Amino acid sequence: MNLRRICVLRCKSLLNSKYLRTSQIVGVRKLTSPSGSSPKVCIVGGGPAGFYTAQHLLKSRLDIQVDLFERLPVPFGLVRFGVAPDHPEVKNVINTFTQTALHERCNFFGNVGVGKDVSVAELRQAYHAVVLSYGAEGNRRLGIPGEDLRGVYSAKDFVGWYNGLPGNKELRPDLSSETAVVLGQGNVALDVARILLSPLDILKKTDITQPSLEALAESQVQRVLIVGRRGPLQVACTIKELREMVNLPGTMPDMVTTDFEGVASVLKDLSRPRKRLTELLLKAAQGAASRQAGASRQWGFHFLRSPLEILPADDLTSTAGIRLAVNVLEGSHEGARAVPTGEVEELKCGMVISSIGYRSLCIDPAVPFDHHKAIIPNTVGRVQPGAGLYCSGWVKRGPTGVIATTMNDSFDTARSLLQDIEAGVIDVSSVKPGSRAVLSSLESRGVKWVSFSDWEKIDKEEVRRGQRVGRPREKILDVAEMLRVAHS
Amino acid sequence: MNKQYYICVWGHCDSGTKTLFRFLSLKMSSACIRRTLVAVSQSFIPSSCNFLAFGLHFSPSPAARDRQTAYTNNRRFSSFTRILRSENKVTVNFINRDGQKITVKAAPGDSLLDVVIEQNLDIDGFGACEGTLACSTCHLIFEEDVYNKLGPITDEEMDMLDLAYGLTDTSRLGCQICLTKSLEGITVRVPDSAVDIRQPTDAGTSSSA
Repeated sequence: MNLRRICVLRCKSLLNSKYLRTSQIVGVRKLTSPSGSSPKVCIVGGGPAGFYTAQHLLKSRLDIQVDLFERLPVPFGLVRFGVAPDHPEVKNVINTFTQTALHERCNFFGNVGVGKDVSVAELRQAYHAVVLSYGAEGNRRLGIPGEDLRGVYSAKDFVGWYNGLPGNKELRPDLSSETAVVLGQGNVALDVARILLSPLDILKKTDITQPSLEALAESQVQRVLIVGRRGPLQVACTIKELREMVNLPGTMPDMVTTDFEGVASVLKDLSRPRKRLTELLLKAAQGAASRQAGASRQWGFHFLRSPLEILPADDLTSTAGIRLAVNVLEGSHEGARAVPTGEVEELKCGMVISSIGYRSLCIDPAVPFDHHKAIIPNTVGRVQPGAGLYCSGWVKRGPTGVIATTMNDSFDTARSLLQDIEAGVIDVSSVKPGSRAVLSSLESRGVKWVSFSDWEKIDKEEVRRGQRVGRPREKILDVAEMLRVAHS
Repeated sequence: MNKQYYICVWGHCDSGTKTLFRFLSLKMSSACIRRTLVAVSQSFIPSSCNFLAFGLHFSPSPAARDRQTAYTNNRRFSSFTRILRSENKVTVNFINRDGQKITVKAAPGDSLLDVVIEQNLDIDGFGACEGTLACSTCHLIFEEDVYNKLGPITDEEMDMLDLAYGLTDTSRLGCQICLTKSLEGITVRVPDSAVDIRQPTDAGTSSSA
């Protein structure tokens, strides 16, 4: 987190975040509903999708009220629990989310599980419109034997572990073997590889959790193989993350150059982003990338392999290796398909991290859900047109894209909602109780919600604990303690 | 202990609170800062300003500093001379996504991201990462002759630009382009942001950050 302390005069538009623009927050277009009653919108999910949807709604109408409900006591979703600890600048968006939460027409309610503590039906009764922005809490299963052995983790859980997600506190990944295999070649796979191989000196200045720092200090992992079904021209990661691996101190790339046959000749036909990415990959594979003296740790992409089975050790409970099918590509570029050749390869490893995608869950049976695609079916964010139900973010589109992709997507949903208000599709002439009704139900159910100022107490405490050990923050790892600090 | 300070001085002028000037002060002791501020206040107050306030922003955390340096190194370190008098300003025209043209005057040395922020321009989602080369939301399209005059592009900027929707041959990130007098009167276009029904971009379909 950037440290900014303004000593003398607090000027509103330069407060907190130099880059916070009042036009983002204060209504620029002066639209009000003809009947004079204020539209009340409820957003389920306090991550980037929820906040960006709220931000756009608040800025576009001066009469709209937005309530955000979040399952955890703490806001910000994957910005807090997904973005790697060594990427703090990506977390700058927290500043703009904070300003949105502090907006006079916005309320944040943490520690409220929609689908558990309150139903979507109740929310639809209490609000003119409900936006589902609860993201993707689950992960895609490999569906192969050995998937449940000790030493096999989903990337979502591994990332959640080093980022302090309460549900992953007890993960205790087994870092005792020399080789780790990561299945998948997207940015999450590269984050995992980088955190496994980063020098402690770098990690200990970040907001990575203390228990994971200690575990990584004892780690025996020296080699990480990043395995993908297709070839070098189909990697889903982006160049910034690849460059970070190439430049990672104390490591060197170790790849099979035959995997890159024919790649150099098609370079000139590629779009600039893909061309630059592929050139860097080629350079790394050919060992032309910096071979640092004393580099003891290795990483490499392993192409054209699909997982068939994770092999147990003699004790039958821990991982000893992985059996992979060898593929060949049919077609080219983005559309290329991996086709098994029948050949098989076995690799020795003690840890397998499956990074093949997050997956949304159905949190309330009353909400339509496509179990095959694992998204809420919608048209430009509208779920069941005319019903006042919307969605934004990963639960709408699927779990891909960076924060900016979710931002644009959330603005799209907000625009659909606003159009519906203006067209009278959402009837805002009826008065809705909004949070009043929901909070009284929650109280009668014994649910202790966390307000945004309660979160600020948690935030201060985490920063205070971090300062004691020279780090940006020391995250609180369990919900009970978060609540204790919030309500102190 | 010598820390890196980023100093911002505000004045209350007839037309509202304005940033008089900013400069990045490397490794000054706090005593030196105090002397600098006193000297500044005695020499450089425009006559239209009747109130001054000083803000001290401390340097960013070490992990962010490298990226912050990439951003700040592109700003002109011309400390005391960048006062917002009208004769020093540069006119910039923005063509927004809806086709609307917005003309503003800004100070040399300001980045185009600074201009959008300070002038409160209504461009959706601009500058999400606050100028630290961690996103592509300040993507702007320049005219070819202007593009050729701009400073060199770093690998880091190009890496993020590669993720931008609607990338062109004359695209740059606004946070990396600092205004100079030679950019007087330029017109920049804000590209369309991705809409729902779109082809997935080549490198924009991966998750995590």
